[in-house]
Amino acid sequence: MTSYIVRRLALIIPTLLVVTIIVFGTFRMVPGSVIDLMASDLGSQSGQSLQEAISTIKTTLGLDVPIHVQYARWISGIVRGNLGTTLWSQNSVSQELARKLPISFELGLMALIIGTAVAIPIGIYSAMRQDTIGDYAGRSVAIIALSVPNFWIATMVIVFPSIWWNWTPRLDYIPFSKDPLGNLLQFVIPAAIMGLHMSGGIMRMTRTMMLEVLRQDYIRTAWSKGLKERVVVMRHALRNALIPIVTQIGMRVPTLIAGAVIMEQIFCLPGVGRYLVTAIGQRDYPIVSGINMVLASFILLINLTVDLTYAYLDPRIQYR
Amino acid sequence: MKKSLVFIIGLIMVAVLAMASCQGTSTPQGSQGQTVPAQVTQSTQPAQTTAPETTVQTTTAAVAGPQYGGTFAYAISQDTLGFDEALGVGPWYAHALHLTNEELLQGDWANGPAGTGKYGFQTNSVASVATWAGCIAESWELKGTTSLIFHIRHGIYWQNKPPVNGRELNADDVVFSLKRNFETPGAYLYNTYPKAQRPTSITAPDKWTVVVECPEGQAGELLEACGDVCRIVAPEAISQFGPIKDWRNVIGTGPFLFVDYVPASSMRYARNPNYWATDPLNPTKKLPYVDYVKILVIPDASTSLAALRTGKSDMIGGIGWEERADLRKAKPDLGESMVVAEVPTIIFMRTDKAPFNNIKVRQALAMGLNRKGMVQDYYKGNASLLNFPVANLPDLQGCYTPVDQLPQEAKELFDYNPTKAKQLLADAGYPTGFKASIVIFNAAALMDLFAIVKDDWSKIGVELQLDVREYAVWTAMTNNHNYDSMIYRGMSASIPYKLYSMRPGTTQNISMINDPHINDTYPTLAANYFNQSERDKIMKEVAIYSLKQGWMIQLPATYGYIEWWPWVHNFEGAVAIGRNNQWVFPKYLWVDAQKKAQMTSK
Repeated sequence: MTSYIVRRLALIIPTLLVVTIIVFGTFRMVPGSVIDLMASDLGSQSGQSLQEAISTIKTTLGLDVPIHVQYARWISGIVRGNLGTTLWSQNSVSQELARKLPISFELGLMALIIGTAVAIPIGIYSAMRQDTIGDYAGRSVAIIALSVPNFWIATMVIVFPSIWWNWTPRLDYIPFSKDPLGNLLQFVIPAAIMGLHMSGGIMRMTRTMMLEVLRQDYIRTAWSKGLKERVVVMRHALRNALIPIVTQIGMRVPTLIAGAVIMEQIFCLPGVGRYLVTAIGQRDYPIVSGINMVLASFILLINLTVDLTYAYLDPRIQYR
Repeated sequence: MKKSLVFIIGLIMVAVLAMASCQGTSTPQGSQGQTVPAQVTQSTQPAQTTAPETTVQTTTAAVAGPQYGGTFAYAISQDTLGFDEALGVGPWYAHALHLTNEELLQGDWANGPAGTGKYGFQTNSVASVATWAGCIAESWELKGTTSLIFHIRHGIYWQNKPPVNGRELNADDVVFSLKRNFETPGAYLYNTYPKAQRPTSITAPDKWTVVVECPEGQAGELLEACGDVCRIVAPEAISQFGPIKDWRNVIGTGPFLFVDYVPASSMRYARNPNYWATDPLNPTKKLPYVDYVKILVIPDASTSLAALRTGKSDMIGGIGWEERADLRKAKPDLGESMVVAEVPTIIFMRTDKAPFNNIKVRQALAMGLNRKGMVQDYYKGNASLLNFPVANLPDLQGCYTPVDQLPQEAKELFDYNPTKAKQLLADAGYPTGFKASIVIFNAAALMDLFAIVKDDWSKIGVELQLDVREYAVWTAMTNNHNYDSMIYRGMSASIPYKLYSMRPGTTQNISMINDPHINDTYPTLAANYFNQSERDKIMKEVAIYSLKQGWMIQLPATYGYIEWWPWVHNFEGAVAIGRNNQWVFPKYLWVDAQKKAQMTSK
């Protein structure tokens, strides 16, 4: 097992190298460069021919050298833990991400906890009470959670209470260090919306896998031994049903973190999702490259964690 | 049974936690207002024969005031990019400094909407030198044609913070700041003014005088740049901290002190107890009135509106006519100002090649568009026909001509006349019309609008293809003039005298205009920078001439609105007090805290 883990960790390096080349190269090939955007901003205020200014901007931003030189500079920075400097605000990308990633991570983690806490019990209940009213209700909830867009729910949560009850959630971010409880409470609503949306798929997967497992011979044996329902479900059935569920949860984690743009936008949370979308629109290459690097690393580690979880859940799985 | 009980209890716990996160509607946190005029790009007033009026509604009797105290809060959609203008591409880069650092000149508040109403202060432009009042500079003068002299005000003190420690501002600080902005590669003024157009020297002959020597013909431009674009910073602060990247190192002479910053979320300012200025409308009263200003960064429009409704935001700017209707139904007692469009929607075309190099084709396209129908049917009357190349602003009435006062040749281009349009096309050699394409970016409102344009032009034989691009790609194409046929862009009409959209070689000359009359007239226009009546006369003629030529077709521009709660006083919708002063207005207004508490507790 140890050698497996070491090998997997070692494989992350060449994988990330390929990721850096793809991310670095493709984004710079997108039409409409940062120089065009900056020149447009300047031109709207001055009307002058901006060739001299454009040349200065390119030099200041380090964009006047060939792309492979830019890549080499960037990679050498990464090795030293420096993700570069943002093009528009001249700030350290590492520092910006250090500020924003925890916010997105907190939102994603809370959404995951809420989503899982809601989905798995309901999924188990639906499976145990198949074809009863409870099962239909559970499945309906799952379908509604899957089909109603979370951005719609978020907008309704913001708009209607402001009209009916003169209320909105807190609209300025409360750092955890300043007020931990306030910070957590601020995240509950957006996390609940995200979590509930995510729970639909997990609920259905849980129900399906539980039904499959509950039909197995060893479960029939467990029942016939007179074991309590709780023991049969939790100790025998659920553990074997969890592997695909864990896979599904693992696949959603990166999306929760990087894909929370809309929640961050609507609830005014300064996370990395919103930051990334703005950077893409502004063609801020170091930010996009840096975030992609960090997220790629994170996804690789998550995948490794999920794979290792299989071994825990199913002793028959052994890694060498 | 037990499992169901556990499950239900779990659900209840989650629900309780969710409800506990709902904070009560106590004293509003702040106000929001998207005051960036660029957001009201589609707003204009109706074509009028008189200067547009701002509509202001307040619901209560005048309060004996102004009152000191309270917090004024509003929202913006984008965070500040930094804290040092010398690092930024544009003057809006470090808008966080607008409340902490000042300029030599600023728009004359006494003649703004809260005063005489002579100037609208709705857009970041300056129509004439008379718009300015002194700020850090008590006065200025032009000596000869190339020497700008600024007389620095006594009694202005820096914030009492190391390393400046509250000393008095002097001319050396101004010289330092101006030179820094013109000489630092990458700074806005350095980028905007090629070397030949920058000051030849900036000196301080004594502690209270700054002399800027300008190249011939550049005095007007550099008066704007030095007086109303560059914010003054303390040399000691730059020397100790280098370029300012940390908000804690911001030191200014402005009405407020920077006290808190949560990146991409909020900025908080406290009143500067040592601020030098008094209220121009109440000269015995020291400014500012409010204790705190809170700026919320709210990127989502619905959230922004919700914040205004709940009183977390004291004002909102740049909302469209549709949102305004709903808002005023719910909150009829809000103060309101209709915003004149600064950046109307323009169709540009390749006038350097066929078919658009033929004036009859251009005129046909204009007549083939039912713009009055768009105003009535698409915008339900909430749009203006003519806002370009001169914006219909109070400040620009000297050179603005309403549609009904235009000469017939120009006026008829605004009437929908497909028959005449077809005839013009036939005369131009296109009896069956022609194919064209227009580049737009992928916004829903634009797709709707240009679907109407496409439909109108199809009736005169012009087959228009919509070439939809991503925003940055579209920006690059407009900037580089890299399009084949036609392209859309919003373009500012609040600085008409510079003829940016018509002079060869400028980035805004997207229609590739190279007209002898314009080329010959511009030097005279520029030379009359300080002679406003002559300047207006020339600009008026140029504007009518360009309309007749049809180089650029303006689509109706929708109205935008600024709304504010009635507890906010002395505001009246003035959001841009000069060329680079979009967020300075909180220094003048005051908040009736008692009324705010009453209204928000309902």
